[in-house]
Amino acid sequence: MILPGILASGISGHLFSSNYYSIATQTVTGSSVLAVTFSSIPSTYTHLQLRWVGRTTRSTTSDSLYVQLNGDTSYYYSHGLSGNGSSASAYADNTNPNNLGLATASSATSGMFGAGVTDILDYTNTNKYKTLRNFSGFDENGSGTIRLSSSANIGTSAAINSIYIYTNGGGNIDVGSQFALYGIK
Amino acid sequence: MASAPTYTPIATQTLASNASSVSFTSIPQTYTDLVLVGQARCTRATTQSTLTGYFNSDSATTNYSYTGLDGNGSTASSNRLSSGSYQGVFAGLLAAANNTAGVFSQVLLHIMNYSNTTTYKTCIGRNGAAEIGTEAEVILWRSTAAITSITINEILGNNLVTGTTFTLYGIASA
Repeated sequence: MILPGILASGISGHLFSSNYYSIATQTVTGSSVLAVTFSSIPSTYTHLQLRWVGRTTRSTTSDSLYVQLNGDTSYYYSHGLSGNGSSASAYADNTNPNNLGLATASSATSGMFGAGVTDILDYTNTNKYKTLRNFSGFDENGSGTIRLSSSANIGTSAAINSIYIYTNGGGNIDVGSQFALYGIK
Repeated sequence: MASAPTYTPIATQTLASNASSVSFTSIPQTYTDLVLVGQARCTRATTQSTLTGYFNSDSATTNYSYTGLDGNGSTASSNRLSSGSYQGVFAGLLAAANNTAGVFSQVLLHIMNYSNTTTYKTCIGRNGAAEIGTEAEVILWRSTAAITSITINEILGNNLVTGTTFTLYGIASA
């Protein structure tokens, strides 16, 4: 069986549009915010997909976007492939929260945003640790990173009912950032 | 929080004969993101070419840049093309005339926040072909214009072959 969520972020193919629903969208307007939250996520879907464009107020050219599921602050096990325009690298990490990917930050030219698509698979299943698959990147016309990663929170198998997104460097999520959550049946 | 289903097919273009480009025009502005899915091959007498293209009428090299991550079966690498050296919405690995008959490249491109008129446009995509390799990429179009058309072509102007097909989907957020 082909999973629409897999197709949606990973490979080409035919989707089943009647199975893909918008749940909620958070757009940062007016002033930057410390975090973006999706709460009371309905349990009526099979997979979730988070699509985002992001920029933070950190005084760098890029910044990681972290995510907590159900408010769980424990660290995630993740593996990734990354390219920075000159070399490719692989990494593993079990000392940080789950990383959605790299957004641009305040030292980047105005108007530049990172982007990403994260699939959260089988999010209501209470017999599995939850796996996130992240595809993200930013380009700033001379610098940038493209990244593929998979991660899991080893320690809880609870169904996911909330998603909390925040920045690595203690800065805010900047105006113009947008996070849209979708459910896939 | 519930809404109507989305991930809606907007249009499909399939070449019935060789052609220099594939275009989507008059793209509706009613979605949040676009997703372009396709298979392509070109007539260039080589085993690998590059799929590219442009948004709206901006076919110059000035406003596009790209960062890619590639694997070819033996080596992983990353590369970049910046303003002035690159034109296009892809740097896709494109199957060509010297590949085995029937081998087409696969293309997936997420065009994020395409109708926004205050930010530049960032796209993330994946592409590849069985006899060439695989690639992930991020592309920046430094324009705040809403994307109303997409043109897809081979980088040197060679034709795309019969059977090349692209479908454009729209995703509407709540």
